[in-house]
Amino acid sequence: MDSTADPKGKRPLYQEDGLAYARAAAAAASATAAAAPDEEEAKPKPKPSSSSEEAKPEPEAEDQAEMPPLVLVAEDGVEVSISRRAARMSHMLRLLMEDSCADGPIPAPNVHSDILDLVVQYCEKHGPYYDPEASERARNPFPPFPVELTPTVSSIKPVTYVDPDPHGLKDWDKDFISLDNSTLFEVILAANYLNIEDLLDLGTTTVADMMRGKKPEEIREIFEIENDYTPEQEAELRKENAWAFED
Amino acid sequence: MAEALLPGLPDEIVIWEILVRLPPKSLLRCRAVCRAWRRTTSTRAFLLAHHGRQPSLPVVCGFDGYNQSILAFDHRAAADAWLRPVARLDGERFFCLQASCDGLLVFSATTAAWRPCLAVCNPATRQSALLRHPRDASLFGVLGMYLHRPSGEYRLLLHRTSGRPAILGHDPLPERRTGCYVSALGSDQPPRYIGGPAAAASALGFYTPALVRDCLHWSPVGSCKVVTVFDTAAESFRQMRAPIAPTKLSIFQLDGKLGIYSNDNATKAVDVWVLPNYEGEVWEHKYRVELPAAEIRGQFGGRGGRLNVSVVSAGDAVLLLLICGQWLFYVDVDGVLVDSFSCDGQKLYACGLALKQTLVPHAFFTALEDYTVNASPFI
Repeated sequence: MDSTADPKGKRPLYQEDGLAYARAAAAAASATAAAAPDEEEAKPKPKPSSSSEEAKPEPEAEDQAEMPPLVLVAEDGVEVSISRRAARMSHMLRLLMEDSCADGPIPAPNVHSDILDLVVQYCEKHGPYYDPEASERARNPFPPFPVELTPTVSSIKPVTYVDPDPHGLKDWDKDFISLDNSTLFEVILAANYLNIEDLLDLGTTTVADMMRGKKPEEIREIFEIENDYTPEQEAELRKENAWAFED
Repeated sequence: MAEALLPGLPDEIVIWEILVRLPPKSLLRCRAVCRAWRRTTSTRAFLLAHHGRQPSLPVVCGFDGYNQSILAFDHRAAADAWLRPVARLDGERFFCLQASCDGLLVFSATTAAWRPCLAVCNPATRQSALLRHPRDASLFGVLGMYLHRPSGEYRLLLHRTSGRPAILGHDPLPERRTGCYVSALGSDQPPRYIGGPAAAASALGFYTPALVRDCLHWSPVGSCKVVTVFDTAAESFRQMRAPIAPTKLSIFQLDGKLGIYSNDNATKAVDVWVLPNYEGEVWEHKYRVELPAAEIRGQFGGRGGRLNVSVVSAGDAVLLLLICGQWLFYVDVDGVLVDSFSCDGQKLYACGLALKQTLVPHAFFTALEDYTVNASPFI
């Protein structure tokens, strides 16, 4: 197996099991919801039958904005709604929406409603500016050649080109992610389950930054990890990579 | 049941989403946290993924008259920290940086018995060893280093500069043809002759190739106006069109694509071309950078001295590094002097090479002579 198999060092985000479970659960939930008299409008499905009564086909973005928000159900039974535009940030929810399995309540087991609120907050903030294409490219760093470059996708930019952050997302993210460790971990787990790449990156980078530049004893203290080295073993290890332990 | 690496998170996330993001120095410290952390960050799969995430940083060499310093340029680091030392090497037996590939550096060196040889080292793992071949390195020049994907070996492309016999009978090769040779790191076999553009080969040795799409590319040399290309998988040469320009051109790698810049010290501007479509071989003039010469001379007191310009890429950004003596100036493509750096007592060189650090412990090290870890030549 050659070393270029995963050149960006990233593991696949898409998790088969989670998606299948969510689909099945959503389908079951839809079935029960449909049985009861419901408040859902009779909105045309993405695959329209040839009905002259239906509205003219609208662009997908508008379609989504008008469609009712999704309903996520946390482990404590609390329902949290998320607009469709924000839900695009979750790869899992996006697939459910594409497969039209997202009309009923979607279970999010193991995610407490407080955490779900935070996750939805993140998605609602980033949703309007989210471009699914951008992250696709990150997941597929070696598209087939020849690559046809149009000016919009040219990646050559001068170093003084500052990534536009006109919406103040970076600062917002910094405030958002200042959480205590256990909440941060829960957010990471939720982002992982829902396949929200950007939130997962934000959370895990924050944890990595907590480790960067620290001494091992400091890392142990922050994360409450037990040191199972004997003093001799630890000294040996430090000697082995002495340069890394210098300041 | 095994303890979780980080209580509260599944190991899969801790390993593949958190630990893998740490720079080499932090990762090595993390190994000292507990045994489980050491175990999981030492697997080959992890280290390959970790290496895959490392940025490819332009290398600047420093020489203080005796010892060599290897510095890496990271434009995204905090101000004052964007040029940081990676390693210092004992200059008594380690001389000139010749090639770099995937975190491995190859130097011209001498054995304890003063026989010219080549040496390979990894500054992140502090491993170092002398290469067995070529036996007399003074006969050969290093054109480049590459990963030969079909075999998985790291190989050197060498050119033999002269047909003279080796010093003191060190060359058992019956083969004395001038031209190009290939030698695998750690191999017992002498370099294998592959022919190649013999006439141009010795001139190519003065230039650093750019590795793009698994091929090494050299800028046009002498009167020849083409880019020489070496396909590392087929191990054969071919040519490519180059931009038309009156000045000397230098090639570099930019975010997986080829770039070329004009390198005439007389002019006050640098032109940069890029090749967006590799097969089409049509070069696009991208930038014309007016160098902030007055500002630069003002910084180092107007002392004379040639300003060496090199254009490097950091991720997908293009930067210019201007070096004169102990001074390094970092200029962006708008001709703005972004920062300057002075390395007291050292003469700096931008060698056109890049370092993508790796903690992968390559097997060939232990098989080589004079294998050391954490010892000379690292000081």
